[in-house]
Amino acid sequence: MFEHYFTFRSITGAQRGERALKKEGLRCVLLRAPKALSMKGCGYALKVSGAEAPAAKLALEIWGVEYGKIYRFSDDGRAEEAAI
Amino acid sequence: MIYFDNAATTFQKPKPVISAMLSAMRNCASVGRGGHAAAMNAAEAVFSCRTLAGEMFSCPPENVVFTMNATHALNMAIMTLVKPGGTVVISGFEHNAVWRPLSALGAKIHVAGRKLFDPEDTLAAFDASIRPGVDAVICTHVSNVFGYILPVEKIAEICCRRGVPLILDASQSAGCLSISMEKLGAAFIAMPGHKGLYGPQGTGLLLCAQLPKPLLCGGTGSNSRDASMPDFLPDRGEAGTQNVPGISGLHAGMQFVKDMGADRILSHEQKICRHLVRLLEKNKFLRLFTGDESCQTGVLSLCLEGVDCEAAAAFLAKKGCAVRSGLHCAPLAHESAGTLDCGTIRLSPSAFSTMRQAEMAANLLLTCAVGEK
Repeated sequence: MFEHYFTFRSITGAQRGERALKKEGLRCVLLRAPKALSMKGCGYALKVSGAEAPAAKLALEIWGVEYGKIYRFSDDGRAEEAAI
Repeated sequence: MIYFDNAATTFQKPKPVISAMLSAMRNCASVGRGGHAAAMNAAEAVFSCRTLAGEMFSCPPENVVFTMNATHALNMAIMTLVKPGGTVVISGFEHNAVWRPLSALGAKIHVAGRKLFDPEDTLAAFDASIRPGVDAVICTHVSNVFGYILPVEKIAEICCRRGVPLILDASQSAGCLSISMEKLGAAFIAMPGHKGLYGPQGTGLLLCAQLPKPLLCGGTGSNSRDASMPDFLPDRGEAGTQNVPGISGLHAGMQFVKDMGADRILSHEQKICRHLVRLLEKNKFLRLFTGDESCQTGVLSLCLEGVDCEAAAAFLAKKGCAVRSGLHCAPLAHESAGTLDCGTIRLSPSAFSTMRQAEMAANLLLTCAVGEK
């Protein structure tokens, strides 16, 4: 299963997201967004397993955490926007 | 030392404040400037403080902007809302941190409410002055000179009804009075970290209900390709490397306040001031500035007849008692109280002050008053 990246424009937003996912019992890793995902330069992302991505999306919405987009990486390493 | 100058800065800090600062210096790099462990430690430390501030003052963590001090925070709020030459309403007890930036902007300043310890008069004066077209109302929650608690909740209601934004200066109330961004509906609330929140100097908070105009532009670790500052909080107000050791200390200080209870701290400080008043009030050479307990925090200002307040404070300092004398950077407040020419001596205890210290300070003041120095 692909890993999914939820992007955030600030580290504070990503940290709020991280707290929200943890409250819902979901695992995630906060990291600087890969260059391909941060078009404006320097962004942050929460990496979530593909299996937990739908639950993560729901959790962020429930907790009112604003995120940018959701991406998944294809086998050849290219990022593509994920429809969840 | 008897330290009764806590309204300037709380000098005796809880031990966890110092430990947290040392730990940050050992383990934390810069927030948002890397994905490595030391940068992430810093990010965690700063976010924890932001979250606790959000909990204490009822606002989302991203609406908490870290500043160097309350003056920095107030300047940012004022520069955001007040146009050059604009109109503002302020209380008669504002600090120079409000008066000077407004003067620099050439603002038309309406001073509302000059009567000390008279919330009804203060409220009536604000009610008469707040009109549509006013850029902002800027009001201190508590006078730094006299400890007068202004009726800010009711002033905030008037502001909301008339659509005028409110900037609250919580420099003397954060850590001892309840402050809710949500309930007040203020545009901005500014406070220092190093006073009633028991953090270190070099820390402050600006709670923002709207985007502030940045006073500093620079790196934020976000939107780096953009020439302009980010249009989102908190990054818009936080250019440059954060004071991570300071913010870590502030977090520990706020935790101390939360654990102890702001109301308990206030009650303790008021009790010490009441004891001081009991010991001093019969002396005919002393003029004490006291109000009802519901409208005065644990701050006591006084004048000694025929004695220069600076000389009296120097005498106390020599005997190991730290107080603040003069105008306390608040000439408006002294003008309101009629003490602009003589200044006052201010005693401001903290959570660490004791009744015994109050007795020792009172004895020193009585010595001054009878001219036995």
